[in-house]
Amino acid sequence: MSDPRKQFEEQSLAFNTQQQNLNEYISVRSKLETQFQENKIVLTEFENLNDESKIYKLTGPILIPQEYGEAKLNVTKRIEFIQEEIKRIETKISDEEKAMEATRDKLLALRSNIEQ
Amino acid sequence: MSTPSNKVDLGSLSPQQLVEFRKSIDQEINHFTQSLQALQTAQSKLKDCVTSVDNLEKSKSEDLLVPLTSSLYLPGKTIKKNEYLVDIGTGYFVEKSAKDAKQVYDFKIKRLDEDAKKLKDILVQKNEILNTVNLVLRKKMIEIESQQQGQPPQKV
Repeated sequence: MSDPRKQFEEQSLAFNTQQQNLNEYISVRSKLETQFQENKIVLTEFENLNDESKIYKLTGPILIPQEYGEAKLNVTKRIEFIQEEIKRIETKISDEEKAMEATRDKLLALRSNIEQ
Repeated sequence: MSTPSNKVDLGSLSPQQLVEFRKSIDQEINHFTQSLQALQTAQSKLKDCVTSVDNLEKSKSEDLLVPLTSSLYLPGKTIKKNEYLVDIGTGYFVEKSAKDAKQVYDFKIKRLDEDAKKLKDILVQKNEILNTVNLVLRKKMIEIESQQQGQPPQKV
């Protein structure tokens, strides 16, 4: 066993990186949520449209006409994709939280070791 | 992070924990206040769209000024009235009549209204929690002070 102080430093460094990771994941999660909500609004809008509606997709600086079915399918697919992403990032978040919990326990143990 | 769902007696927390807790609530309140402001700006933008459509509907002439930048305009004429290109989000635009266009915006405004209401409720709740925490914290401080002066803590 190396010096507990050194170990303590290592662990607290690890804890910091874990915290940073977690914050990053959380901001990704909230971005996904925003996209998810936006796409849901678009989809409800598509529900009110039909084949006759003229739909354009903004691609770079130009508007490209699109078929109703195709556009709707695109949005549906995108929502599915975002939902998958949200699931993925949520497992990451809970994993990271567990890891943080473990590191915190280690830190507390080390601290009581040092204090003795 | 968020408020714990399991019940914790505030009185059982140490002053340090209470201060930490108060800090996180403060952050949450800040965050929610910002979100609420963002919602309100978004809403006023949408309302601008509705009034623009209304104004165009009311005006008899076809003349209008086309903004190239916020300070540079070109005189123009509307060729097709009652045909609006509405941004419905995520880069999709749909051609709509004035009535339908307004419907889209009204729907969005209504949604934002609902969200804003939810946010306000949360803010009220959070403020209540903050007040309680402050109260408990003050009580604790008084207890500690009286303990330090060698007196038995006052039972409140």
